[in-house]
Amino acid sequence: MLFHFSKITSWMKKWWHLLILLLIGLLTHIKWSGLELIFTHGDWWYFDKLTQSSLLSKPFIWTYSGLGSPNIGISSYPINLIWGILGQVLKNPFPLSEKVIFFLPIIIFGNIFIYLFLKKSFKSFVAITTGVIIYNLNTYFLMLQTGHLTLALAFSFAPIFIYFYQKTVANKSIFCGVVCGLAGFILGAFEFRALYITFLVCGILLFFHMTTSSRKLLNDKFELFRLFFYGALPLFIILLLNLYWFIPSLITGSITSNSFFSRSLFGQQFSLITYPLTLFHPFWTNSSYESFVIQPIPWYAWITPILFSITIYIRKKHKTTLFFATIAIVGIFLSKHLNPPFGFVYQWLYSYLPGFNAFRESSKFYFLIMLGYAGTTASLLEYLNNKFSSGLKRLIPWSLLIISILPFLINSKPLITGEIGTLFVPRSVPEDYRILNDYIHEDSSFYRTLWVPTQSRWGSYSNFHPIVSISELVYKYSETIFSQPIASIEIGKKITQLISDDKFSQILNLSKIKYVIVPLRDTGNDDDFFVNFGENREIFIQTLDAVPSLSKLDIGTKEVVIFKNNDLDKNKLITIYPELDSEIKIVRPTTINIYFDSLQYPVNLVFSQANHPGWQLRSSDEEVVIKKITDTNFNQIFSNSFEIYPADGENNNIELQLVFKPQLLVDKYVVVSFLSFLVCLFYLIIRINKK
Amino acid sequence: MKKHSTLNILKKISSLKTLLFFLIITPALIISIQILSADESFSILTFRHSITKKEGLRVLLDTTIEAQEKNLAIISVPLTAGPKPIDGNLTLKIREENKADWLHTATYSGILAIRKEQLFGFPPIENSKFINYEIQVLLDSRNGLLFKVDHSRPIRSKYKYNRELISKDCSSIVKFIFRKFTFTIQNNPYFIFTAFVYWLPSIALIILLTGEKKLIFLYNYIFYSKLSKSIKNDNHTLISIVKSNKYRLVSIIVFLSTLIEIFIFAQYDDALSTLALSLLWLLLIIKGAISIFEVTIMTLAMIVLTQISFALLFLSSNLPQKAGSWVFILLTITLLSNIYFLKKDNTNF
Repeated sequence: MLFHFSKITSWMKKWWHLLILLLIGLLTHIKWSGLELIFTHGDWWYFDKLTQSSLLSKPFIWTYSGLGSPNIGISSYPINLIWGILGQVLKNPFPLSEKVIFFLPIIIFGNIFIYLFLKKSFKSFVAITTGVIIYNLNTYFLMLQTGHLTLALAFSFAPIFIYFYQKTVANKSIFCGVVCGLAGFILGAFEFRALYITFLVCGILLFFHMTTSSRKLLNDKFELFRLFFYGALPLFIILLLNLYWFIPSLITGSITSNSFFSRSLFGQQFSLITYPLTLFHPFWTNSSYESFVIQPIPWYAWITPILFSITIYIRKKHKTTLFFATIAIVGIFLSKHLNPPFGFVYQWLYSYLPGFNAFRESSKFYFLIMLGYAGTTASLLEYLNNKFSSGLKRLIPWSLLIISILPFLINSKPLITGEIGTLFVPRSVPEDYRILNDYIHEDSSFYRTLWVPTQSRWGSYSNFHPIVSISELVYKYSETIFSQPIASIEIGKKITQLISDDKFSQILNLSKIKYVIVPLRDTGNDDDFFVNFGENREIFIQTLDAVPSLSKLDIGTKEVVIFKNNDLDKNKLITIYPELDSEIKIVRPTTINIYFDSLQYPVNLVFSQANHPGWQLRSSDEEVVIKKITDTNFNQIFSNSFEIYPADGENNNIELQLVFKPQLLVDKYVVVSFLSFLVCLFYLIIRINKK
Repeated sequence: MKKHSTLNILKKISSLKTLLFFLIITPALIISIQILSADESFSILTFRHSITKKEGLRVLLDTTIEAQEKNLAIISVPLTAGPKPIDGNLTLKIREENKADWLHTATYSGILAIRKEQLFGFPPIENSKFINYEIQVLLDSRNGLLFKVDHSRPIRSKYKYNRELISKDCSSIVKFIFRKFTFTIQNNPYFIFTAFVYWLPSIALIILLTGEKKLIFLYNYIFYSKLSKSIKNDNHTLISIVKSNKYRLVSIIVFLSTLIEIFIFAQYDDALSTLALSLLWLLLIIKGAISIFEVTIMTLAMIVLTQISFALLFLSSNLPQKAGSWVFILLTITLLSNIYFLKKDNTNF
């Protein structure tokens, strides 16, 4: 007992700094406590049990979500798997899952990993504490925690990846390279864009390693090869582990030509250089959350750049400081988007650098600034701590510690008080949605629900009942429906225009929409999205009321309005025209078997998923001719249609298989990725045992 | 051996002269291209006017301008960019001063995108020279958001010339190009500054190549009346001072140019001149003419004077952004020179 106590006290003595930092982290996020409380806001969506449980599946490159599309979220498969497992295991899974998978790791990893990373370069408590606080309590990182938790978690995790990358390159260690590769894989699963930015840090590290090394290294080809080998090893492992989605996504074009990557640059007016220079998020009010309203920079935010400037002068011969400073400078340069100086560089990178088109707005590069500023300020404190280490002089580093962290401690105020709102205020599911969700899932046949103007976060969905938001429909198919692209400001008007249009009933039937739902104005949960659609809720209801094929349905909801589409007679995933006896077996979302007892005449098969060349129909009988209708006219965009011509004579027991072809590649490469993962794990276990 | 070294010196001089030639000719070419392509098209001349009348809530602008040329065809109104696009009607009207009828009216309906300037085009008015015109800009916004006219920037009148008339003969081309140069420079004085900055590398090279005696002669020639005779005659001391201060002289020119760029031309931006100035800063630090300490002091002074003071006094202008750009550039230059001077060794970091 005494032995254990002494062990604990010695452990505490060694790590008390970290414990204090963790305590600060927990204190600033005190509003996240409460295991039963639901926190959801902005891009952080709520899952009900059914939706969350459905995440426990194999990786699929096609998602039934909306009208169906290539799954661009497939890179987050490992995280979704954890969501799915918890969804299956827990009774009310969401509140606990979000805390276990995201909230706690953000606080814990956010403190521990940057602590370890800085501890590698600095020794003193004042230096490391300053760095950790700057990293965790800057306005950008806190803004991420109001809605973009995947990014927040990825950036909490990133320092450990860089830590191992640095060790791999410096120590030429395969062990560190493998750990780094696995860390990179996890980081990429949280948010692949964060991994992309972290690669930039690795690039700077490698470049820095080369430029600051003696000429002997640069002239020695073998040494240079070793450096590149160890530099590339973690990246190679990451590539292998992500191969299961990377290659199929490249082939489906979902990486290069999805709607997220082909949008034009956005947010130049929010990225004026003074904001990244001060590591101050343009929308930070230090009180309640205001999106897209540029805030003035408070004077105290300039303390950090002043310290940065002083550091790169005082520590001009210190390699680590210059490395951190380079990261910060690159971060500032990229975060300022198209603004001067040399704003055209961002445009050029966006147009020509592979993968850079994922950054239509530049705020994600703030990560580099927070890392750079944390390192440089820590370096200054370390220098002062070493220089003034006795007597009253010791007050100097401590005073500077207070000065440097003060702006960041001020930032934590709205989180502690909860006045920031967003994800720091618990939410509750309105009763209407419980009734609606139960009603939707009662009917097990395939159909979609259309939400006007957009879906509520409380709406439940599954592969059999996907949700379609009319605003998304208008944006995505505006050029087909209205023959012109839509500006965001006229979206409310265009929605009512579409509902009043003759095509509306046709769209409902083509996309198998059985219910049209107008959500309530959720002011109680601070989620009244109608303000973004011209505040026209009543007009939407009136316009829908006037559609002949729709009739209002009373299922017991008070405010949520539901319309039933009376024209939809065949709510099936696959429809055969003319009607014919057939058996449809959904093996998995990307493989569907269709059996015909007898096929005497040509038929049309319509599969209700958005048209994509990857969907193919194959027959067991070689004589059966199958032709895919490739017209991209209005009728065809909502489905994949095939003409099936049977062979002459008797045609009994015909078996057809509808497959999404890129999924076959996923199946193939998932083996490679999984084996690579096992090899890495075995290698680590063997090495650890040897040690 | 001696012959060989003379040859090397000759080669060196000739390569320096070639460099100097390029440093003089290239900026001239760049500036000419920039001036000739400054407007919407080569055949357009632009003149700027200050705004004389104030605006109301719906009437964004009601002002009078005096046309400076024939063929008035476009009026450009400076606007402040709002946070979101506006759904509404923007109407622009033009008439001769004190006349009842409007000459032209144009209404832009629907979604009015965020733009810094609204161009108002109409068929060229042939005899517009020296006639006063009243211009009105009206906004009827449906979603309550407002465009505002930016009073810190001028209204621009644009004159469209017939290309055939311009290219009729050689003298008319030369005349038009001359007019284009004078109008553009008058319209945008930043061109004079950028031209100076483009030539700064050549000026610096000339200063560094010119012999000390020649410099002193020039100095005496300019400041003769102001200098005491003792300094004028004490050539040896002066030579040594000039010799050690040639780089310092270039540094002062670069420093002053940077200050002019920040404080006088805050609303303008030219990547090429910023690049030229930045490279000169870097070169001067590497050559030891400016110390990293001095650059750090300048950076800190700029933060205090143009950022913290502006934030404390709630001042709003383009200056903090421009100064912010230069704070960033100076930080980058400091960092790059630190890396340059860093002792190369195999220690890990």
